[in-house]
Amino acid sequence: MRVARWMPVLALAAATGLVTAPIVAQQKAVVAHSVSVSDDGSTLELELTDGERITFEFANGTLRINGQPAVSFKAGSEFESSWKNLLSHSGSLSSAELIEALEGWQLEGLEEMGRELGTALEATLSNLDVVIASAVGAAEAELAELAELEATEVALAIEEARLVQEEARLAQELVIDLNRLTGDRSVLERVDELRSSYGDDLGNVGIQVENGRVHVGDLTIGRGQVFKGNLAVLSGDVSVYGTVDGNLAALNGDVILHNNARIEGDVIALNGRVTRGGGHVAGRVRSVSSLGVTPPRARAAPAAPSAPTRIYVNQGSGFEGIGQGIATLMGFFIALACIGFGMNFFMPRQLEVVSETVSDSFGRSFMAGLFAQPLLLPLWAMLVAGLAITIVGIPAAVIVALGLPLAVVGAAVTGYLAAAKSVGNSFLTRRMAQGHSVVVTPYRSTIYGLVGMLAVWAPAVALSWIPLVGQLLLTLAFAATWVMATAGVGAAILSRAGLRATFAGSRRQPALTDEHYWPMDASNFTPARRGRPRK
Amino acid sequence: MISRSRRFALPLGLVLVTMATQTEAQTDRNYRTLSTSRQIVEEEDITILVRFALGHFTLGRDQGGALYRSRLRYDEDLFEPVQRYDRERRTLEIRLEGQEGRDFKGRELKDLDQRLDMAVSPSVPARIDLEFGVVSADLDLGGISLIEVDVKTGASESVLRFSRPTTAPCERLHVVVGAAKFEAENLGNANCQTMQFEGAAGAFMLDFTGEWQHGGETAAKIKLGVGSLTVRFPAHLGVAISLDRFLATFERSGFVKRGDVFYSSNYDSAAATLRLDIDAAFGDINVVWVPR
Repeated sequence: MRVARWMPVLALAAATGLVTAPIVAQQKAVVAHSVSVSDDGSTLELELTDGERITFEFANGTLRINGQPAVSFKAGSEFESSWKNLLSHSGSLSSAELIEALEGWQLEGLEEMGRELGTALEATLSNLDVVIASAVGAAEAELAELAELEATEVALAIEEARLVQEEARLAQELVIDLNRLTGDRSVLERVDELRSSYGDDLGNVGIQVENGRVHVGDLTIGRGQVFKGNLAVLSGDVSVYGTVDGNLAALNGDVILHNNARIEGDVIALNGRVTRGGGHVAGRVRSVSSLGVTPPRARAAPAAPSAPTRIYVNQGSGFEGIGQGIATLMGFFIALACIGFGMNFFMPRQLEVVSETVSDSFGRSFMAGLFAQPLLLPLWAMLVAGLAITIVGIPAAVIVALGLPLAVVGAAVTGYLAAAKSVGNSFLTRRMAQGHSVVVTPYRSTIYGLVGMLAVWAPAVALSWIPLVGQLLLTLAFAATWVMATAGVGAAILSRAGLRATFAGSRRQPALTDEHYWPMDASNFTPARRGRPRK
Repeated sequence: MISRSRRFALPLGLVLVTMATQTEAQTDRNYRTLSTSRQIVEEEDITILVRFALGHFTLGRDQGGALYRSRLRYDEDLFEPVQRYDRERRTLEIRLEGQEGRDFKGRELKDLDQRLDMAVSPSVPARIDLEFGVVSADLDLGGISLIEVDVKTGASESVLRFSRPTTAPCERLHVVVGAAKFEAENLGNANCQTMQFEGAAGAFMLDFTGEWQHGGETAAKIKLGVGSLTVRFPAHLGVAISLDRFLATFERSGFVKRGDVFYSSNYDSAAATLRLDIDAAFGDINVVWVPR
C-alpha cells in the first residue's frame, strides 16, 4: 500500500478542518486530478473514489480550500512560487505521479505560516492515509502495486460495490425476443412492469434484443438506410424514412413512419403511438398505451450521449425513386391513352382538325397558346366578377368559376393529345413513305405520339439520381411537354376546338388531301430522307 | 438558451470573420493551462467528446496507464473551458467556448497560441467524437481500442493517422471535412468495419496502407465535392472501386474494369479486400500503389 504520509496540501486541508472528516476518517483513492495554472494563480482539484472533490486554490496571497479561505501568506512568496512551480510541471503526470511529486515537495516558506499551523500539521499528518488508485495497464511495477492495493480494504470495498452493482444489473437484465413480438404478450407485460419501476429511465435496465439491438433515446433511420434485424427503441421516438428488416418496437416512445418507410415485420409502440405518414409495414401495427400500472409518460432525454442518433448501415440506391418515376410515367400514359381513345371514338373530326392545326401551323399554334396562358386568369376573374355583380348572373358565375378551369384543363389535355396524334401521324406516315407496311389509324397515331412525347421523360426518370444531370433532364422534359401542350391549346383555340376545319388547311391547297403524303406508286417514289422502299 | 452547437458555432464564426478582417496583433495574453488526468477504476468503455474551436489539437494513446490525460492551454480572457467527466455514463466532455457575451476583436485572435493535447488509454474501448474548427490537428489513433470514431473538421489542416494497429475491431470511422487539407495515414491499421469520408472542398489524401490484420472485406465510402483526392493502396490489398463521378477524372492504373466496378488485379486472391465507393463531383482522383 502506498501511503502519502507527507502530503502537505492535504495536511493543510486537514489542519484547517475543511476536509478533515472524509480524508482522515477513511481511506479514499484519488481517481482523478485537475491542475489549472496561470500568472494569477493556480488550482489543484482532487477527485476521490466517492466523487468528492477537494479544491486547493492559490491566488492573491490566500489559499482557499473548497472555496473557503484557509491560510494567508505573502503573495509572491517562496511558498507560492514553489507550489506553482510544482503544479506547472505536473500537467502531464498521472494522479499517482502527482501524489509522488507532492510527497517530494519541499515545504519552502512553511515557516511563514506560523507555528500554529505547523503544530496542526504535525498532529494531522500522522492520521492521513490517502490511497492512490493504481493505473490499469501501467508498467509491471505498477501492476504489482495494484495487486497489493487490491488487498486493502478500499480495493475490497470497490470490488464489493462493483459486484453488488453487477448483481443488480443482472437481476434487471431482460432479453426481449422481438421475433415473437406479435403473439408474446408476456414480454410486453414484463417491459411494462420494468417501466413502472424505472419510469422513463429504461436505459439503465439491461435490455437485450434477440437478433437485433437496443437504442436508448430518439432515433432516426434515414432515407435509403437499412437496419438489419429487430430494433427496440427505449425512452425515445423513432422516425423511419428507410427500412427496418425486422420487427420494430418503441418502448416509451412514438413510432413515426414516413413516406418511404419500410418495415418488414411488426410495429409496436408501448406507451406511445404509431403515426403513419405513409410507408409499408409487412406485419401488424399496434399501439399499446398501458398494460398495468404505469407512471405518467414524460419525454426523456437520451440516456447515453454516446448512443448514435443516426444509424449508418447501408447507403441506399436510387432505384426506388426510379421505380416510382417509371410507375408514374406508365400511369400518365395509360390515362392519356384512355382519354385519347375516347376522343378518337366520340369526336374524331374535332381531334383531327386540332391535330392537323398543330401539324400544319405549329408556330402559330404555339404562339396562340403562349399568349392565351397569361390571359386565362384575368379572363376567369373578369367573367366571374362580371357575372357575379348581377343577381341573375350569379348561378352562371358559379358555373364559370368551376367550369372554366376544367375547360382549360380539358383544352390542355385535348391539345396535348392532338399534338401527340400529330406526332404519331407524322411518324407513321414517314414509315409508310419509306415503304414499310403500316396502317395509319387515328388510334395508332395517338398511341405512337404519346409514346414519343412521354419518352422525353424517360431519361429524366432514369437519371434522376444524378444531382445536376437529373435536374437538367427533368427541366428539359418539362419544357418539351409544356411546348407541346401549349401548341395543342393554341391549336384548339385557332381551330375553335376543332370546329373550324378550314384553319387547319389554311396553308394547304384545297384540292389536296392527306393523300399527297402517301406513296401512290411505290416503284416511282423517291424517299425524302432515309430508307428504301420495301420491294 | 443557446444550444451547445450554437455556442460552439458562434465563436467559430466570429473567429473566421474577424481573422479575415483584422491584422493588428495582440501581444499581452493571459494564458491558462488546465491539465487533467484520470485513472482507470472500473471503466469498461469510455466516450470522448471534444469541441475545440481554435488552436492546435493533438490526440494519441497514453502510455502511463491513465484513462485519459489532457492539457489545455487557452486565453482565459477570451475563452472558457468546459471539462467534465460523467462517471456513470463514462463520458468525457471537453469544450473550449468563447466566453458568453464576449465580442471578439481581430487583434485579440491573431497569433493566438492555444492548444489541446490529449492521450487516451489503449486498453479501454473508446467512442471518440471530435469536432474542431480553425485548428491544425494531429490525431494518432494507432494502438487505441476503438469502438466508433467520428471526426468533423471545419477549415483546418488535419492529419489522422493510425501509426500502429488498433487493439480491437472498431465498428465505424466517419470523417467529415470542410474546406481543408486532410490526410489520413495507415488506414489499414484502423481495423474499422466501415469507413466513410466526406469532404466538401480541399485536398484529401487517404492512405490505406497498414497491416490489415483482420483480413476479409472492408467497406469504405468517399464523398467528395470539389478538390483533389489521392488514395494510396498497399500492393497486397485487393481493391474494388465503384465510381460515381460528375466531372472528376480518375487515374485507373492497376485496375481492370468489370461491369461498373474497377478491380485491382489481385482482388480475387487477396487476403484483405477493400470495397471503395467513391462519389466525386469535381476534381482529380489519383491512385498510388505502395509496394510492401
